[in-house]
Amino acid sequence: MKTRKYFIFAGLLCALMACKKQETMLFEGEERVSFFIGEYDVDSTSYTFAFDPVTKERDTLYLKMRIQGRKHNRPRTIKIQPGVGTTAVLGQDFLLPEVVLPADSVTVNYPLILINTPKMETQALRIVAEVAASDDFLPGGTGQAIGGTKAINSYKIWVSNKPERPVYWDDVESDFGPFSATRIRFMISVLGVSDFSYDTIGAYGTFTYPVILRNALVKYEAANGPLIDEFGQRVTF
Amino acid sequence: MKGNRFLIYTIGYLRIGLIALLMQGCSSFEQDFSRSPIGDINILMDKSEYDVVQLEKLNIPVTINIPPGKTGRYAYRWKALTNDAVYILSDKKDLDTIIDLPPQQYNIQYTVTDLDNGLEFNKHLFLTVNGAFYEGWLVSHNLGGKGKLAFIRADNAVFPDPVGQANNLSFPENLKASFYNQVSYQVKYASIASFTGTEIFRFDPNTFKLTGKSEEVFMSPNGYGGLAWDGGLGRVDQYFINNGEVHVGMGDFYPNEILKPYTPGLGGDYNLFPAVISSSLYNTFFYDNKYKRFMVAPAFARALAVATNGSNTTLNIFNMSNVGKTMIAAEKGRVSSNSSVFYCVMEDNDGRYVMGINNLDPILYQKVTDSQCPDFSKAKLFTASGLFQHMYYAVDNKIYLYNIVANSAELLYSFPSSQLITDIEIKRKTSRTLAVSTWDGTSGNFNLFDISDLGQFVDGAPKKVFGNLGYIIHTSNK
Repeated sequence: MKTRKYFIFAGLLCALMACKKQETMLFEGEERVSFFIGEYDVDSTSYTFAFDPVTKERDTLYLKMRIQGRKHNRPRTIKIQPGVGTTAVLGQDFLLPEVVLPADSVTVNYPLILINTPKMETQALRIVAEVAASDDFLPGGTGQAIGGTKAINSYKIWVSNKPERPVYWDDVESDFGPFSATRIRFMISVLGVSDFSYDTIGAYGTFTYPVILRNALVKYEAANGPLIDEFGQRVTF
Repeated sequence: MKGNRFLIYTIGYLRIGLIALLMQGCSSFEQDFSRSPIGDINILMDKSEYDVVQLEKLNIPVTINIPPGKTGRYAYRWKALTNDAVYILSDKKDLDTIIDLPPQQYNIQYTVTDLDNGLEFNKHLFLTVNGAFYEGWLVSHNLGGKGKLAFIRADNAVFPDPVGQANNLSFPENLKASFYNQVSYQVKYASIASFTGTEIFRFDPNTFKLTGKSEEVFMSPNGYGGLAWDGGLGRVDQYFINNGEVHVGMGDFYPNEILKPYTPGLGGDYNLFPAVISSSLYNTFFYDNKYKRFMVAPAFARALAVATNGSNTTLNIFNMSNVGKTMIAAEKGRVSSNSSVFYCVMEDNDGRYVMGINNLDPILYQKVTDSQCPDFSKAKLFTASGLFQHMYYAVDNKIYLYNIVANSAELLYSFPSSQLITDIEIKRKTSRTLAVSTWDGTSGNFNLFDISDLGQFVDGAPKKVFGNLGYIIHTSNK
């Protein structure tokens, strides 16, 4: 009987002790920022001025960035610096402007400005964009992040003005023929577009563009003779 | 003993405490279930399902029973709903409007909004819209240098100017032709196109509303003439012949692209006769009147090649790559699930011939003489039956029936000598009606003949004649 009372007593005490206020975990630490990429994306890309239908003096590449920490109701500054391995010259070949993360924002597209310089016609330059410490942020932690994305603190860009074989060319070679700089320059001049990937031009483009190119080539050849590419091959569509 | 008492008291206090907490938790919740009338109304209609022919007026009177004491300040809204669209039909109490919705079934939502309290009362019903232009003849005719497209429906209802009515549009010059074009099983992307010498006008086949012009339909053609338009038998591609060139449009594999502009002319050294010879599922033939040979476009291809005979060498009745004759006409005959028969009227210095192609192979080659087939050498207008091995041809005011197997022809009908036949076309769907257009110098007639089991005209006369038309330049089925 006595034992039972002890058990009841202990049980009631436990029940009362279990009732306590739940504490919400809040982030504590330095404010940080990093680049982020998709789960299957790589931490580098290449860019060439050679495929622009109209020659550009500069272009902007946007890199996705995300903070690690709390939102604030004031704008905050993000800085990027050239990292180890950069062969392009800051201020000549590219610019890394200081950008402001707007108040109450979590993500921002960082504008990396590429400048079309003569040396890019002969060599591809490497830019390593690296998150730098600013008054508001430290470089973020890296690795797997929310939603399957990855956080990284440096992103590599190969920039040139050489018409290099696009990675998608295998997919469209049966429609447009073997890659050559001469061929793609002719395609760009006729069609006014520079991205011939299936994702961009779709089935309609793969069926229709070759006819437009073939007809344009007939006119070109009538005026100039055969179009011969840098490999000595006659361009046909 | 002392400890035992302490324990008993403590448990007692804890019990009292728990009971107190429970009693505190059990507070009464004041709820008010009293109800005041909100002015429910009762919406009454004659039926819950309605049928209407597109472009005709639909009247649905509504009776609304308003509760006593209400003043009745209401707003009304009639909406037609499909899975992917909402159409506002009217904001009047009774529906009394011309229905110009695309033909299909709709859910109709009738909403009455009480303006005093914002409450909405809904009534649902079903509406089936049947196309006004569901089946019939497209008649392109010209008068005074201006073209007009008439639609003569299967039930003989005449729409003299559906294009003008739907778009407040008149063709600025004579018409060359009008076609109904549909990739099989892709009715959603069907269209009607009318051509003048310089322009194309594309219309929605259900409403005749303009859906495109010029380069929205074809890439940079330089004027229009010598027109033919049809899909390949396998529905993979669509072909349009214009001034000896062929343009290709997307087909069944990419339905969303069907209405995108056709390619420019494929280019090449040829001059195509205006006929799309879709005799095979995955090879479509054309005829080059420059080098007198057949050309072929395999499915998905965007270039023509010289055709060769199919693999069945026993059928090498003629050499498709070297015919050596000029094509005068090419008409579709019987169609099966995987092939079509085409009859081609050819000509050389020795006279005229009829050649047949089925699938990939020649199947027929015979010389046709005027002694067996009167006026055949002068005929320019031909059409073929899809039921029998028959062709019809017209010369001046006469229509002949050409029996392909017997290689002989008979006169079927003569219009008065003042009537010149300007076009003939068989109704492909049944091959039981022949449309014959005539012109007497001032006005045109559109004559429909019923065809008997022997291929002859029932009662030896037109079953129906539609007058007051201009010079009929082209007719086609929809």
